[in-house]
Amino acid sequence: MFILKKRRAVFLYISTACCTLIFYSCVLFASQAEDQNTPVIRDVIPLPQNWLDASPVRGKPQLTFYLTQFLYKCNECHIDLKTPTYECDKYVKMPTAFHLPLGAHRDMVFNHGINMRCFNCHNCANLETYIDYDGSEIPADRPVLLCRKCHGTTYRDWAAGVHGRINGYWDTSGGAQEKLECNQCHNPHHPHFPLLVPRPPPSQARIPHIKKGKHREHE
Amino acid sequence: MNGPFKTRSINEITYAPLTRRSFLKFGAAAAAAYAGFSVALSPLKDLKEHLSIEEFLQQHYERLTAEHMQKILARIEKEIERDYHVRATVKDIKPMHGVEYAFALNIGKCIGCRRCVYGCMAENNTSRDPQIQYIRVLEMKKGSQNVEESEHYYDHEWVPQADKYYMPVQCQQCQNPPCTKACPVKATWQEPDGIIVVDYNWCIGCRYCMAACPYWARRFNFAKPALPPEDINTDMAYLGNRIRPRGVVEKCTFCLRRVRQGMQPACVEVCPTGSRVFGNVRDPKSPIHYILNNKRVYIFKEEAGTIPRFYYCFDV
Repeated sequence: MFILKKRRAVFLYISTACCTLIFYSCVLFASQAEDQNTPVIRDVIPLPQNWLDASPVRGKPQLTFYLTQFLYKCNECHIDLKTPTYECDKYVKMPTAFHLPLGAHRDMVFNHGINMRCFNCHNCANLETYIDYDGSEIPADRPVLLCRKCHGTTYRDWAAGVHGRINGYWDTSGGAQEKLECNQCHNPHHPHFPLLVPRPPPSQARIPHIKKGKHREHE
Repeated sequence: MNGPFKTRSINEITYAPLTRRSFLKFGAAAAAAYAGFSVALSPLKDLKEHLSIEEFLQQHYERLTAEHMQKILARIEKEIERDYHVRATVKDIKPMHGVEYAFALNIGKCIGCRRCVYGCMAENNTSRDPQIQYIRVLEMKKGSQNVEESEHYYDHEWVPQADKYYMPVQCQQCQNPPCTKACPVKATWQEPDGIIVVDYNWCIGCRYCMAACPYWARRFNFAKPALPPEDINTDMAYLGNRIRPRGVVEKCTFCLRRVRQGMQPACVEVCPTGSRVFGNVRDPKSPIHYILNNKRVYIFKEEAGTIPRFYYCFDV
């Protein structure tokens, strides 16, 4: 009767397994039915637009000046008021108080190493331009030509396209390139690149963020 | 043979008449078998929803004809519209002839502001939740090259910090890539222009390539990428920035969609310091060529023998 006994045991095992499996499959199908109502896309907050802002650090500076909220060009004061001759002296230092009566140039920060004289760069005769070594004028919208007077190696890098950002096409046959000028990143009176606020660090969570009860991770 | 075993022979059992007991036994066994079978195959039920027959029978990328590719692209566009409610254009962009890309990063200029990280996310449609980022910015101690001591979760009020320098790490597009050798199904390979790509439809998600990469440059989609519809970049490339399915590996492709159309990668476009330089290394007039000729250059983990196309440089 050994076989009979064994067969009975096998039957008991099968029936137990059967009950378990049926119960498990019922649970599984029930949970799937619940899933069909949940959305495919989980709620995610879009990246803030200012995180993707790629404009240069200083915008596009010009030789203009704000005084009591009005925009002035240099010559509006300096032609009428006639720059005094002693100010045209090459040795006038930058952080002086000679504009204080009008409040002009007061909030400037000067930190350009040993380059401390106004008329090393500015043209005394026409303050809307810069000045070259030979006394010729450099237009205000080409500060590169001015800065290369001293920063020759940097200018070489810039001309080769490896100093400062280049926007646009790497393949110049396909489209145009846009090169930034010096003063779009560096303040000429304080040329150190400004400190920036870093974007947030990477998330340390390796699993999706799921709101309890409302959203289930559904594939 | 004598004894108890002879009383019921095998034949007797096999051809026993159908009794109530044997009917019930057979019924119970059949029910158990059916239940077990259905439970075992129930994952296929989920699969059917998202794996069409065409996708299942799709050929390897290199064996696809132009007609097949058109059908596949149309199918992918339809799937994206169904899942993300966005009308996207997916293109299969082939490499340019006679072009080999290289990338240089000036660690003397990088200030660790992480603009590149988020520019990359916006271009490449990486998952926002769970978060996937291709670029990892390491904050290193000045005078040290030990990446074990670096910190990539730094969160300062201002960068750069005085005694630190910053070293962004992303896929190095190696000339001798260990990841492509580790792939058992050839779902990742090196293109003629040097970019290492992944066919997301061919990837089986075994993650061997991630284990093989010495730079931790590859990312795995543990869940279906969650993207808000307004954040999705609708210009997509088959091997590049299309939205990945769940369970596949993805990585930086030098913004394949952009660079193969002549544009620069997204991280170059947003870098405020201009420390990232990209170009065709075979063109002697390109900026990348100038850097390799004139700057001090090193490659990351040189001892791994991977020969990266990503160079770290600094001004003298």
